[in-house]
Amino acid sequence: MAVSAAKRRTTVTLPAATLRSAKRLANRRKVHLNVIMNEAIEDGLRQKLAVERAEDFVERMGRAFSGLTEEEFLMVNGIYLAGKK
Amino acid sequence: MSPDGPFLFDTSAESWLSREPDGRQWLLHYSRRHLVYVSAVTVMERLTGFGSALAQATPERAGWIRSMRDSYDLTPARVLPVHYATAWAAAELICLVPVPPSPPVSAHRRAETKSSRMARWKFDVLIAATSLVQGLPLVHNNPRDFEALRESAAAHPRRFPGLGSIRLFRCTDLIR
Repeated sequence: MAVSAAKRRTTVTLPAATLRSAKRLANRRKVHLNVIMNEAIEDGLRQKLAVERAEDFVERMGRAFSGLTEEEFLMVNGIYLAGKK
Repeated sequence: MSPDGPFLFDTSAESWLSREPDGRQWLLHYSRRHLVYVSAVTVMERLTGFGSALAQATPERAGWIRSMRDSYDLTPARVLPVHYATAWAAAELICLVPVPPSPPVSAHRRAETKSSRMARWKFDVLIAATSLVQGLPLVHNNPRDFEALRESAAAHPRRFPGLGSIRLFRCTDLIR
């Protein structure tokens, strides 16, 4: 099968049971095995990227607030104390 | 029913959840499944606070504060603007509750001024209005103030046509 410029052919090693399930699904939906594999990889990647983005976001947010003094923490929450320290 | 999301996060809740270990675990679980929504008002409060802390910091401390400010990165989040409908709803809420229920914060024999407390109240009202207009439950750490807004809005539904009610969750309740 010809491969378009936007795609790349590669070889992956899969557990036999995984390949059987993918082929069964392809047969049931009457599509090529490539379609099932692409969907599965894209869905899986999307989920993994979401997890990574979430972890990165929460780690950065933790760093934004964890090192603040009590007064600094009040300030970044919009609370400003007046009077002599 | 345990609330799932998506939520709008008030200024106090966003920082509390990010700082507490259990809060961070909850925030991680949440942000894997939903966008973090904050109001533009929260961003303004936050960055103003970092700016004020920087202005008062020693040169040695300033570097640390700058790096913490730079870690406050809402790129993956959704920042909601204050547009006409939000401003209109906020005006109605301020008319219903013109004075903040909770007093100025005080600590170590120092306290917020009245004008500072009023400014903060108006920001909270804008955030509550954002929650109402956008239809997003609000996660907060300030029950006295936000419950007063919720009750007032619920008691005067004709002033908020088509907007339903303000739904609130305290961040400490979410992580239990």
